[in-house]
Amino acid sequence: MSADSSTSAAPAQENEFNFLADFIPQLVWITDPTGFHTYFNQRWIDYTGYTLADSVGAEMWNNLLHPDDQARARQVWGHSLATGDDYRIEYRFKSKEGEYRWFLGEARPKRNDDGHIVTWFGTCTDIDEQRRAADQLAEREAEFATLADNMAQLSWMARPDGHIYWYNKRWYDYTGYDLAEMEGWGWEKVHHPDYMESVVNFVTVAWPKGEPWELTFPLRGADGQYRWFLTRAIPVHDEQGHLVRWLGTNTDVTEMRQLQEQLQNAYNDLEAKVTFRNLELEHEVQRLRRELGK
Amino acid sequence: MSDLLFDVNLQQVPDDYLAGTWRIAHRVLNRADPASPLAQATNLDLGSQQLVLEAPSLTETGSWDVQRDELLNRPYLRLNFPSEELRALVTRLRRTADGARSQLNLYFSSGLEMQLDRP
Repeated sequence: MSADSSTSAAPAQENEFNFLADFIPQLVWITDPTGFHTYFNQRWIDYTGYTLADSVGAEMWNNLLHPDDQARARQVWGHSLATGDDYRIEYRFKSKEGEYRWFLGEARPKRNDDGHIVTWFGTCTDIDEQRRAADQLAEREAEFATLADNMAQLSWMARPDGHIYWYNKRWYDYTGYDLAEMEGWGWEKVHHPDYMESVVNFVTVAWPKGEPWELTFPLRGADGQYRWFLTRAIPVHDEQGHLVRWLGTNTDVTEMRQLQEQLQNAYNDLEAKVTFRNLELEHEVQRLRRELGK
Repeated sequence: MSDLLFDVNLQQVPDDYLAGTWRIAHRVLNRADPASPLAQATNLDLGSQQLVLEAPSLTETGSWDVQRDELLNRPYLRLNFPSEELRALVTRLRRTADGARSQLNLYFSSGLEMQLDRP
């Protein structure tokens, strides 16, 4: 009775497995302990255009990979076969139309009671859209980084509480410090001691307000010299209006301040010179008066 | 950092900041007397005992002192030569933190302006 039941149950389980394996969105495959494929689901056949019979051969699956991914995939799969470690890799498989799509390949071994691997069960999940979106995002980030690193100003980004977590390259070039030394409140290292207290007092009030602010103060360069910078900070809010970060720039205004100072000095000098020349005349008048009074 | 010149507050400048041997580095000549000894001077020694003016073709000695006037917010120098007395307003004095280097700007009542360096 039991033998009959098991005999009749096996084809039913196989049917259910095939139904499930063909139903799920992944490409499904099975290999023996040596990596020789013994099963592909219908989605694999539909995607690659190859049946199990077509796909026989140690390198068949590898030949369907993008040429740039083949060596890496062979190495990772070879490592799993040798060690029994779970298999996980991102690679590009060629469709029967000849186009490549990104997949996440994953496999786990099934072991017998003695602990020996008897079968590898694997899936390939289509991650093409996520991967391309991630690539586009990375490209945009690279473009942004290029722009930020080459702009004339020093720039930075901070958390809502003012903890700075990013500076552009110009900041590091100017100060001579790296992110590890500058992250958070490391910027205090390059502030002039005479202005530190007023700057800290100002930003302590400015961060919680969440409104744009400006402040001018000196920053020490890698050469030890201080230059004056106009600092502007802009709050960035999410759709709910919550402050999510600060974007900041430091613009070198040293020469502008020097010109203003020179202009002010020239004006003060002119006033002093006029007074000085009038003083001479006044002394002359006094001398003449004294002579007339004799 | 020691090479940086800092502006000295001219309302509180000590007289000895102005003493010493100054080299005339730059001048704006007054058209009225471009050939005067002062207009040709290369060095001005404001010594403790006397004033010495050095020019390529002559040397003049005299005396000097620092004057202040309540109408002015900065001192001026009175330079007494045998032939004339000159007055020069100190328009700027800059010096290093250790005083090793100084830069002095003078404005004479004739209109002559000078920048003097020390050393």
